[in-house]
Amino acid sequence: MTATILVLGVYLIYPIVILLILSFDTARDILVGPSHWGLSNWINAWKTPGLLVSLWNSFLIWFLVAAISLPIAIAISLVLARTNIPFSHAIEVVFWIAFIFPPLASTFGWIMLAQPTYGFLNKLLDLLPFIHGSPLNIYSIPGIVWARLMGAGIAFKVILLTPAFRNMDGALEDAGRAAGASRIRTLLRVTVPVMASPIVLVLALQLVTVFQGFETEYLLGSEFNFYVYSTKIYQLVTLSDVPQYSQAIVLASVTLLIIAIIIPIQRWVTTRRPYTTITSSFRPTLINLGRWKWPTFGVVALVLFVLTGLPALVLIVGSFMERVGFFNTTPLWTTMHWTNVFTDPQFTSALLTTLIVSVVAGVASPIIFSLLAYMIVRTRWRGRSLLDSIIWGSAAMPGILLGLGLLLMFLITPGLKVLFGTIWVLMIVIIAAGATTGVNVLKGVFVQLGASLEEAGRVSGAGWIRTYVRVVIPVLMPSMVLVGMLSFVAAANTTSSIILLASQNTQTLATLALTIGSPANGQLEEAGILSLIILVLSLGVALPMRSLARRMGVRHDLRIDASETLHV
Amino acid sequence: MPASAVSDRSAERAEVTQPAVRIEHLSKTYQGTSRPAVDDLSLTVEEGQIFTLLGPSGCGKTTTLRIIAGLEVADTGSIHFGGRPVVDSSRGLSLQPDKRGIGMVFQSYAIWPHMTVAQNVAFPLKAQKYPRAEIADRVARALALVGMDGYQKRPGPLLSGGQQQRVALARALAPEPRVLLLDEPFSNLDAKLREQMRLEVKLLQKRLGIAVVFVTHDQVEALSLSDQIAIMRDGRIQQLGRPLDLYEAPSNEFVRDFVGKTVLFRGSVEAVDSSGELTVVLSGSECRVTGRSSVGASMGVGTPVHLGVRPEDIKIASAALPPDPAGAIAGIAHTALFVGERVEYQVEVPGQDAIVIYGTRYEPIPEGSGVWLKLRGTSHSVWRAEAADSTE
Repeated sequence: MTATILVLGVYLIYPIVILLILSFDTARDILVGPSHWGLSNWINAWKTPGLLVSLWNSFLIWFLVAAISLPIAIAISLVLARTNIPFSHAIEVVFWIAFIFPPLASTFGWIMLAQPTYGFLNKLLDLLPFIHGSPLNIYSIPGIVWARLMGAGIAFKVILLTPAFRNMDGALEDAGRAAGASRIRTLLRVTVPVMASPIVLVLALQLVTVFQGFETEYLLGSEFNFYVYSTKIYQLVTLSDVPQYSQAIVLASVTLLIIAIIIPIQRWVTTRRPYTTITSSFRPTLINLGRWKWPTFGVVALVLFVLTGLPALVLIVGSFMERVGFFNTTPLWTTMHWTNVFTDPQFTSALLTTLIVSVVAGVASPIIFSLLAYMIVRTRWRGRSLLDSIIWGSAAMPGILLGLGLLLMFLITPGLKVLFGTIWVLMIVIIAAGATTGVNVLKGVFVQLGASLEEAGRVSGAGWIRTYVRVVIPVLMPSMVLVGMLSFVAAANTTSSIILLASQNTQTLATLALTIGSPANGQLEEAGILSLIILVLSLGVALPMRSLARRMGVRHDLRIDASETLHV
Repeated sequence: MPASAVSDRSAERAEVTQPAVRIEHLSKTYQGTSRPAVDDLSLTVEEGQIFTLLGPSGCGKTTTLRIIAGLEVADTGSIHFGGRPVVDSSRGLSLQPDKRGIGMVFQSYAIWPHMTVAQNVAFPLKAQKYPRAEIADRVARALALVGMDGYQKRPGPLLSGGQQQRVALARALAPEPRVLLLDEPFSNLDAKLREQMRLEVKLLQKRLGIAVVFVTHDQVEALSLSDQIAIMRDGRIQQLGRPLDLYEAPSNEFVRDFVGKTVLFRGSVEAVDSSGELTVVLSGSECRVTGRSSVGASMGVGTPVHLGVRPEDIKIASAALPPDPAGAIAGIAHTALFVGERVEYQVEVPGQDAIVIYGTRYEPIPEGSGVWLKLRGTSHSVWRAEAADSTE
């Protein structure tokens, strides 16, 4: 137990401590020279343009995304769960796909659609007689909000809320109707208040995602000098001529302080669970849409198409254009970009790295997390609530902040420098980044299963290891497959946690795409292809694994999983 | 334990007179609670005996069982199996559950869903390193014992509740443990199946001669199955004895009210003779009854008391019939409820609380008519009536 806490502590606490300490080091070059301790970093920080603004921007984007996505998600979930919309099961599967859909692919797709002048949509709209110029500009605050919404913003909430709405005790509503209330009245007076709890839960989870955007803001924001907290740090550390570590560190420290306030609030809200998890055998009667059935289906299908099919389609089409958005090039269509990608050694190296890291994460994570979950739930060891808190808190840490702390840790601590830039670092970072979700999913399963299966193994004469291997893991297997799948997909998609740590040789597909597709490099087509490959990888693993887990009999529903998921 | 140990153990049983389970001064308090879950508990289970821990939820019976199994660790005390120490707090000894040679059936049966019936039952044999060639045979024998032979290939989740319970029993018995632990094994079965399984387990146990520690909150189960019962409350044993002793001579009010039903008559002591027998005159009538105090408390003349009588020991007859005045109590039957195997009358007796008396359906008494109540037996239990007159 102590060893585990030490290891996790080194990964999580040491970088934070370093960040906080170094914020008071006012030497010119903190990596090299002797340290001067003082407050000048903090004082100067407020004067530096853009530092405070970036924090504000983070909140702004977060608020807009949350405010818009929530009503839409509630409406969609209500339709899915409480009406007789056709193909509701298939719709849920596609929302799951939307959830898995890589944010990079989504962003690149929308850039191709809505970049000023050359975006497909702008070109289309320009054909209309009453429109001149390009009305849509993805490089704007609305553009960023839109791209985030198109990412997992809506899909995530739908996945959470639909089962909650569906599992509502039908008897509550029947009682309302029997008392003489009309359908609408029942909906407003009974359904919505009861459903308030999962909605509050979703909002609380959203709270932690304030500082977690990165790729979308980076690709879109730098075009109009718009920075959020994470992209500001990236800019300070990587993109300036001289790395502005001190400023980045102060920014990171301020963020840490804010997070330190948010975490307990969020923890308090999510663990209070003011409602009882209702699983009654009487499902509420479905509202009959009548002649609105197909129109409603059409609307939902359109939403899904916009979330998933449209960006994918655009990426494919764009990748075959000589220059995406330009319809006057000769030749217009070409396979040049595809050839470029596949013959580029950087690409093959990135693909290999991605595969290695993702597969290792997908296999090792469930095993490690099951052991951690076991330690927290099944043992009486003294450190276990500390372990639980560390794991919970780690999710609130934005990837870039951890990346920064680890970067500094590697550069400053003698002996660790050799690890910097290796694939091992990436693997450790990626596995640890998924710990909160994975451990909490498996904790839930342990609690639900109860201890008797394992105890029966022990009293039958099997030692601890034999029991764990022969009884615990097989019973846990469906959930472990699920966790492994989530870990694989997260590993293939993650950027913010590893972008400061990846070296030339250890790029993943995601970091490579981010680099070459950035406004500075502008190889949009190749970046689109790379993100398509990530999409194929993600779906290729996620869908079969999901049906495998379902066939094995995943006992808990996705609501519980997703409620612990903090959107990466 | 390999097969040869079986004959060793029968030889052990023959020559050594050590009890199957001996518990001494066992105590455990859970962290964060003030009251001990198990409080200085001592008991002995002889070889071949069914010993039951009976009590309401929270009394510590399941904790005790789990400490015997090794699933919980006691704070103080010792446990010996056949003379061998298994738990000894003075030496810091607490054997791991897999080393104790026990069999256990859990309340939820804990059948492993990813294994077949045969794999479930074979698991302890494999874990305890039985020779591979023998395992299939032993599995078949264990399943035959519980009437599940032929179900070897059935996957665990496809069994009914009763079948799961039998497989759990077979799994526990397969490695021929020296002690069998049963944790409320019948509580998840429907009433009919419960009665059937009770009988089967009793017969099985007699056949195998294995010592059993049985935990239940159901006093009917405890009375019918046990050789010895320990009634527990708040971590302590209230009374330990044979079922009949607990039923006829409960040592305190809690035991009296937990085991079977009791009708309480209010009265006061009129006389005490040299052997301690009390003559009690019932309030509100001239009726005199003799009885004894099981608690052993001395009660002087004039002490207010309760006279406890089992309902089946009270005969009810219509007042229209010739009364036997000696020892008969007059009353009015207000309601008569036919519950199938008997009729339950709510009788109002002057000077007493309303009481429920049983009658048969052959001699129905109309509601509202007068009745005579006659007590069977010559000596009944007498209890001091406290100011706070509760039966809890």
